[in-house]
Amino acid sequence: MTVIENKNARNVIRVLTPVILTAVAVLCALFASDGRKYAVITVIVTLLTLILFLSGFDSKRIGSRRLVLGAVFVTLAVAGRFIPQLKPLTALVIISGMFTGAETGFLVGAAAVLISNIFFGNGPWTPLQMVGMGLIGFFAGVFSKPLQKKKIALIIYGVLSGVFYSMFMDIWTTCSATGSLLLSDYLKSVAAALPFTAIYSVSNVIYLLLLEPPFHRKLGRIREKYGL
Amino acid sequence: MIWFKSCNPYITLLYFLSVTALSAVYNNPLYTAVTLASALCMFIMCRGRGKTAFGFFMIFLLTFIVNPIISKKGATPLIFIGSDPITLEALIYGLNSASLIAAVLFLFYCFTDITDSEKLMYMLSPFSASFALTVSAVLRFFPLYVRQAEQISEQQTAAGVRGGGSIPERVRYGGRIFSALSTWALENGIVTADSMECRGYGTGRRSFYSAYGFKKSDGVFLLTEILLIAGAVIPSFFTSCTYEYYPGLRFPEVNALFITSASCYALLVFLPLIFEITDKIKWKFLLSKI
Amino acid sequence: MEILTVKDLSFTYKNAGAPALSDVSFSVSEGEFVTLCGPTGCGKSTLLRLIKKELTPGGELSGELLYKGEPVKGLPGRISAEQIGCVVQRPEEQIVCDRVSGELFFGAESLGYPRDKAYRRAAEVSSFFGFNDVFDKKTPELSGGQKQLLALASVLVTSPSLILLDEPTSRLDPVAAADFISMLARINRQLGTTVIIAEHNTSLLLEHTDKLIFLEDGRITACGTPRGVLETKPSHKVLSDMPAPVRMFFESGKTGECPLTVKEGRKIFDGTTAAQYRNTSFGEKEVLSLKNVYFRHKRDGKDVLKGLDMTVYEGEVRFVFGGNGCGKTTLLRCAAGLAKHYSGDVRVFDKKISAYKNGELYENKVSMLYQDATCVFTHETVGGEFKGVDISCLPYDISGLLDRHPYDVSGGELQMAALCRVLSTGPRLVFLDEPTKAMDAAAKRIFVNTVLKLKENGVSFVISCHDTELAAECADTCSMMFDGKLICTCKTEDFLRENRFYTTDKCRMTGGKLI
Repeated sequence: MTVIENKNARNVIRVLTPVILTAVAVLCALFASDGRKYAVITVIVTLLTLILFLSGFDSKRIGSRRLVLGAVFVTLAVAGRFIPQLKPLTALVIISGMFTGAETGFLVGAAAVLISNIFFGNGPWTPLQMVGMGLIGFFAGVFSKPLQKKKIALIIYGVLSGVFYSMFMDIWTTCSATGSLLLSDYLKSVAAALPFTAIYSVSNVIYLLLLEPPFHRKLGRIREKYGL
Repeated sequence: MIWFKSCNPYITLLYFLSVTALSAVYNNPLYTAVTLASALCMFIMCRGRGKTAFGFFMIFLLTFIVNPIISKKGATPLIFIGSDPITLEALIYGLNSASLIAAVLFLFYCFTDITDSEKLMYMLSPFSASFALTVSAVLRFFPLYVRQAEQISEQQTAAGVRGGGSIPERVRYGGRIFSALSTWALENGIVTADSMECRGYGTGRRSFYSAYGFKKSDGVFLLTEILLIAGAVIPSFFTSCTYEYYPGLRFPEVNALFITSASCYALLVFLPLIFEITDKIKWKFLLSKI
Repeated sequence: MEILTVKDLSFTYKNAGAPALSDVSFSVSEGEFVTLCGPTGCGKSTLLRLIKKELTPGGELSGELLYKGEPVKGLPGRISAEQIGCVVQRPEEQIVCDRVSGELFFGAESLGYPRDKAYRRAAEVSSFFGFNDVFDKKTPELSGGQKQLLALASVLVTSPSLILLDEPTSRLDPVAAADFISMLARINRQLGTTVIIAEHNTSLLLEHTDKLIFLEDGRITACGTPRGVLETKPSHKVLSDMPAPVRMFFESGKTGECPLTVKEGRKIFDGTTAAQYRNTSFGEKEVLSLKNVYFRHKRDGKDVLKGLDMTVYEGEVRFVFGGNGCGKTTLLRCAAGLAKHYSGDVRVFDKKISAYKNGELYENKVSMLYQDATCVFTHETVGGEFKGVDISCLPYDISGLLDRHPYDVSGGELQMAALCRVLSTGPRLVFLDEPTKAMDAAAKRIFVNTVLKLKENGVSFVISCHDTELAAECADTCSMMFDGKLICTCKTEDFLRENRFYTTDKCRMTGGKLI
């Protein structure tokens, strides 16, 4: 496709795509008087967020080492999902954000979800998961200093990220199940998911406490040996 | 799906997005049935050896059963479980939802099958080169890591380390393998990064060359696709195309506009299959001429 | 014109006491083929890393390092990336993309070449290397040799004027290594690209080399044309890195012009030497027997072992040869009970292998060392693997390595430490998969002594290997693997004498009188 080769055309695409997508979203909202419009709108809006987020990173260049370390974390996270009873994905996303920075954290979160969904099934929910997990990695990078220093901060972040991700995905659950996004329905599904949220948050904390010290040492060694 | 696989990735993306979005928006059993029929055909054409749709069927069944039990809406009770009615409306709504979800799952299965890593890169690159590169690197690393993990585990066994036994023992052993794998991965990652740096990564703006052209048939498909989307969407501004479930079932008024929208949608949904078959016939014809 | 000038270069790593390089001075003219050699840790890699700005490690640098008259440090990133290419030891890690095409485009993409230029370059390089058939393939599907060639090809896309290579063939089998070096020589001859290659085995390189530089403990101890360097008898250390004809020439005390190739060597040695073989004898008790063994990875896959038979006796050192991917590793894994054969009979110490339960086989009977020695080390120090082991009983002194991280130890030393680890369980039957890949001459000597000492105590070895010289020094019997079977098994001297390709240069030159 010729648009990709030309630099200007590429920039035009980058600007136009979100605009077009927003237009489509609004259009959908306009004509659909009933039904699953909210699900569609949610997907489109998140897709937009994702594109805006990711295209913002290129101008702020991520060094090759950070990028590859990010890819290493994504691969470990995805490979970790294959070990039965072992799902260290969120913990690894948080750790990568803590040690390689906010941008890489988002990248790792989004890519980990996208690629593990290639094996476990992509769907309309993928963009939502990508943004959710990306944000977890992003904020782990933003708060990297306290997270690296204090265990308690790490525990709190583990719980919060579990609760956040679960509640974030409940938006999708509500939309896809009831076709609308009423606050009461949403709260109902949040309540229904409470046991899962609790298990998820606790497992997050456990994985973080187990994985953070060794990765802290390993990355510290890499940093000293190669400079980062 | 030889033709559909070889066409420009953005066109396939547009197809899958528009079909899933429209079928979800209309929420109409007629539309859903058409989508499900096409999705099933495509799934059968795409699926590899040994892959069954059993998982999808379970999801279908689950959605179908759960909605009538939970939903108390609807005017026509069929039977009562205790004091809770199971209504016809909720049953139909559940059937529609279940079919819709199954159709979406089939469609996304085909999408994943059609979109290989190269196409994914191609679609991601204009938006974020670093994200695309990350995805490419991960796809390259993944088989390496799996192999390395197996090797580490076997080497440990061969050196007399016992992995089996009680659950804590097994977890500790698993952690040990994972830790060794991570050390190896991080260390090698630096070499990979250096190799990128050596070849000029980060010296300026990256360009991206792709192997995907834009054939004439791609253009025809795209044009038809856009026209059909418009044909399916525009009539619904003037007449209702959505099916109402609650309180009572109500099919939208069947008029010229609705028929236009429905038939455009049906054509859109089956468009890849139509092109696929046309292409097949064309090749038969081409070959018979040789 | 001088492309590279090095003057009084000294370098000390951060946190290191002794300098890695001291007072190194030499120059390289355009189009020269320069071979850097020396034992592990002599500073070869450090020197190459200093020339490539992107790879320069942290530390203190003094002296001059000029590329085309400009200090390397001040080179713009673009120039350095475009004009100085670099290929490192392991091909696996330097490949970034999951497709061959993507890998070939990588340099051009990073430097932002216009599409036409990038395609033309990639097309040219792809045709030159014969990659047209694999252009669309995924990189993990390539063989090790192809991967290393791909690494070289992807560097050539930006048409560099200088290529640096750090032991590029140390992980390849001899056939792939020879292919790689001949391709490199062709590039040097036809394109006029300057080549600087660091390698401790020079047998493939000497005939192409214009300038031979020998480094020892960070200092240049010899520099000049190969003939010039070899005019007088070099030191023992230099000699151990030289190809067989050179070594034989100086060891035999002959005079005249030193032979550099087998062809030249044959003129001097053929017919003049008396036959002389090592004593190879071993016990009569069977320790391992495979009968009609079949193995495949997946049910719908191809057979890797096709009715293989093999018997190993007590105190026997058996080498298994065969091309890459012929199933040597699989044979070892099956025989060691780490991979499950689906048909046939594997017996270890007169007991069916499946009769050993819960890893009791690996307690003190059988042990195996995989190709990648890092797989042995799961702790943060080398010592972590040796808890509860009496270090002084090990065949090699590792006391200096105990506190170090496994990835900070040099390849040869790590390999020896890994060998110690698998021997520490006191096995009677040891499987080794290409154990000397990363070793220099000195480390190989230690390896040979270790194997021979354990053999005296009745330990049996099965070693898969490409190194025929190693076999000549420590193998009792050798087997050739092909098409999933061992097609011949015989005494080492008979094996090497009968073979035309899988044999040593010494054997070739003396017509089989010496091995």
